Amino acid sequence: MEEKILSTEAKVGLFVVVISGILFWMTFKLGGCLGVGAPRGYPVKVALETAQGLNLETPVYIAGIQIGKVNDIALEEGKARVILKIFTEYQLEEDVEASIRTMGFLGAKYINIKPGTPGAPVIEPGGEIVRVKIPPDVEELIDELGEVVQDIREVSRSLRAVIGGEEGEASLREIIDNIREASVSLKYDFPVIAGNIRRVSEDLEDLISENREGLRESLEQFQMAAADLQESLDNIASITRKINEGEGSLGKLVNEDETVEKLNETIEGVNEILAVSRRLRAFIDYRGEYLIEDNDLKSHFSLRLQPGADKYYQIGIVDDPQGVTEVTDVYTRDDGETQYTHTEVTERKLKFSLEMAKRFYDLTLRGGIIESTGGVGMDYSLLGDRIIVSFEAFDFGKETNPNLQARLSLEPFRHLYLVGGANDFIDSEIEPRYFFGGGIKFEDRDLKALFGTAGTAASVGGQ
Amino acid sequence: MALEFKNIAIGFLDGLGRFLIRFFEETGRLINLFITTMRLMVKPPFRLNLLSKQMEFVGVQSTFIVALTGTFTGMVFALQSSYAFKLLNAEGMIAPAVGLSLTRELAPVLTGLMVTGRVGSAMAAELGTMRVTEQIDALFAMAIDPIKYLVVPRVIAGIIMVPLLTILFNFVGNVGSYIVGVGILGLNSERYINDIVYMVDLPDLYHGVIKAGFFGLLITLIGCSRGFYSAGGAEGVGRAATQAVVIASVLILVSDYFLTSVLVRIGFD
Amino acid sequence: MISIRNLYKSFGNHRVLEDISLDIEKGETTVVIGQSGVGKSVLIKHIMGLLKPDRGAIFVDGDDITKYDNKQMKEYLQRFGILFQNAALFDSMSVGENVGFPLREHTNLSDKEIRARVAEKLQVVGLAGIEDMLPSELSGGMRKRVGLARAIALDPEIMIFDEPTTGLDPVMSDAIDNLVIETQERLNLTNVVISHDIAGTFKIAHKVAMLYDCRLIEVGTPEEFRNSPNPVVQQFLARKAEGPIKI
Repeated sequence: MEEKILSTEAKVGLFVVVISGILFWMTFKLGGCLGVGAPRGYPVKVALETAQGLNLETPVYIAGIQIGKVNDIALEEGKARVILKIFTEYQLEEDVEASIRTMGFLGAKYINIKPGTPGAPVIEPGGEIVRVKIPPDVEELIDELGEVVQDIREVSRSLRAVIGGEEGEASLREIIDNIREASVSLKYDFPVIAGNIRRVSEDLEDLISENREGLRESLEQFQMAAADLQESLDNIASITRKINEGEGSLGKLVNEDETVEKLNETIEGVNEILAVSRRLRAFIDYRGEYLIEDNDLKSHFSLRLQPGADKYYQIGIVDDPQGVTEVTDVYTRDDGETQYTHTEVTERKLKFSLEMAKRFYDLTLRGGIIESTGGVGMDYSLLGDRIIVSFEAFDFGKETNPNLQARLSLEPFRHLYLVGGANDFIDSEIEPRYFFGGGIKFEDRDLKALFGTAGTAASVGGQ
Repeated sequence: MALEFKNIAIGFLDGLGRFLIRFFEETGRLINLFITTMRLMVKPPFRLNLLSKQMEFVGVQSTFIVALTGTFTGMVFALQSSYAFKLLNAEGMIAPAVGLSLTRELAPVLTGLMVTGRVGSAMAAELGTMRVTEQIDALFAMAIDPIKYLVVPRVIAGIIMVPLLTILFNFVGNVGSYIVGVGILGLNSERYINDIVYMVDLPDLYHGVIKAGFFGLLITLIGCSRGFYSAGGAEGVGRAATQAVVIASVLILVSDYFLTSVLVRIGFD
Repeated sequence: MISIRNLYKSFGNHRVLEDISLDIEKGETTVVIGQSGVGKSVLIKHIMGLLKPDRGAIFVDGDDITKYDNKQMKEYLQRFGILFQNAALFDSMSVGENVGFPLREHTNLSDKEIRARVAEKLQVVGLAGIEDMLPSELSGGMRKRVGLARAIALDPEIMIFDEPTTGLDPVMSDAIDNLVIETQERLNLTNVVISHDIAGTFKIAHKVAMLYDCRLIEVGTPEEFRNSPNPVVQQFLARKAEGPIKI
């Protein structure tokens, strides 16, 4: 038998002691949970949109130096409430900014603190970091990138479907040709069309200015008719009440079934009639716009009749200090030469509008005569019509581009609103002309409530 | 022709039936041995001299081979993963990747396999020889419970020493990965260690060590069972040794999956 | 001393022992002979309590050992010494450790006392001073003798020999036979020997029992055995392949 230097027990003992030593060291190193050697710290709260990728022991860095670690993560009011343990020797100013960052491209997450203003008050233990920045993380970026790529792919696919192949190319060329032709003919035709529209509008205007008194009368009559209708309705109401209460011979009749049926039919008919008149709503609107360049006030008065929620008709009268510009082009033949004279006469004149509008959810498209010329417009409503963004294009006959108007109106209070905007805002040759102002808007029944009588509305419109 | 086919079919079914019966017999024998071992483990007398002998055999004598395989596993793993992580500019992930794989999987499984090869086969051969030369009967005749005398110390040694060897494997494996990472790939030394410490948590270490304990039980129990119940002379002993290695290796790899899922569920993730 | 009464044993469908009845007297050597694989070892294991009979009883000093619990059985086993066919020495232990093993396990003797006892037992088997050798260094005969030394270490009342001379040359066989007789006389042992060595059997036996086809077909003194009219016995004694015994 060979001489044993170490007994079996000694070997096993040595082995176990050495390995236990390694285990102890690893436990100490990995866990740091023995409390020995772990740096002391104080807690600081931070609320994050997401704690994804964070775990306990996630380090907190300022300028790449670890100043703490994540101590606890909990859900609080839909946000991740993360408790940081900031090592005692470091202090955080109140305006530090926390963000989650990633080491490398795929690396582990850590919390980065952007230092605050030196000398600012510091966060006490238990305090909170208020400012949090969320940089887009890799996942989100990749997601967005994916969407973009998808969009591009779709566009390119449809493009390829249109222009792909000789056929597509040919049809594309055809389309371009058509557009060119159309624009050429439009170039010659458009002044004619515009002239026609202008003539129509002039005629209308003449009509209105001649019959201004008449128009007022009809409006008054309309109001009176509405008042009469109201009176009749009141009467019917009082009669039916009396019937219900069983007064007079009618009341007795009601108790018989046959009568009841007949009466029901009659009442249904009346209801239908009432429903129609109730559905038709009327709005009266005045707004004044102060034109900054002209240092003058432009007034709009309009009556809007709205038979349904999705459409309305609007009749408006506009007092514009810029007035109407009359353009006269004269061609004269003199001594075999053609002479061309162009005259523009601008005079202050009442303009009128007549528009039809159709509403699709929050978008209203309208068109017709705007300020005595043909025009189109669109309104986009926000916050239940409290904010309306409008664009209008009209006066296509102008020498330059048509007038494009952008307008924003805010209705902070019911019936009262503020407007602001610009005319000619896309025309590169003319400086945009800004305006601002305010307005008042009523529904006819509001008016009734305000003034007690219907007729007053007309006097408002008279301004 | 039809008769021949019928004979083949019957032969096949017969073989299958025998196999299944043998399989259940072996399983039952293993479970029986396990229960008996557990019962006898807590009953005095505790033969500490036998235990320390087995601990020396299972543990101390495996030190070199485990240290060697551990070091080179860590080294090669660091080298291999560096190729992948370099593509992503994420060399910082080499150390944690190697560290996590070692603590959770490679250390317990590879240690288990090394110990199976060295110890499982030796135990089966030793007990098998004792069986065929009537040494086990002699123990019985001398009023000594052979399971208590032979199996219990081996199983305890396995349960204690395989986890300890796994810790050694962990340590030398990470040293190996450090050698490659810092020495060859030129990564920052301080950073390398910090990355391991940051990503590898105590539950990861325990996860591996608990698995190793189970593997230790498995290796020794199967080795003892194959040997203890071996029959058929010298040839039977050889077969027992081979079977012990094959069965234990396969069971280590299969049970590793289930152990992992159970351990993760109970919080060692 | 040991009375076996109407013992039946079968493993599954395989009958091994049928209606065995045998009296083993104290201080005598009883030899059970029979073909290999006939159930002699099974009978011995029943006597040692390692197997439980299907039916029947074994009385030792009036107690039915088949009814013993584990603890009683353990005590009973300590009255036995057994010499296995191949001695069954523990390979991992030296000769001294092998012989001292039962003493360490079942007595509270000090190391010094054990060493003295081991030396004494090795003296008895004629192998003084080989304590530090390993079993693998011993010849077959030496192993048997070490095995005997280990078997008698606890001074048993009953010795069981499982084919003590199998695998030995005739000279060594005779030496072992002499050793059996010697120890039996010196220690006043009750010997139970399993054997198919005819010459040795007649040399050491006080009583011979022959097991054939699950039954004891002949029990008696060596003299009675020689004169047995049973053709099976006669074929066995004459070492002939021809005869009623089916091979």
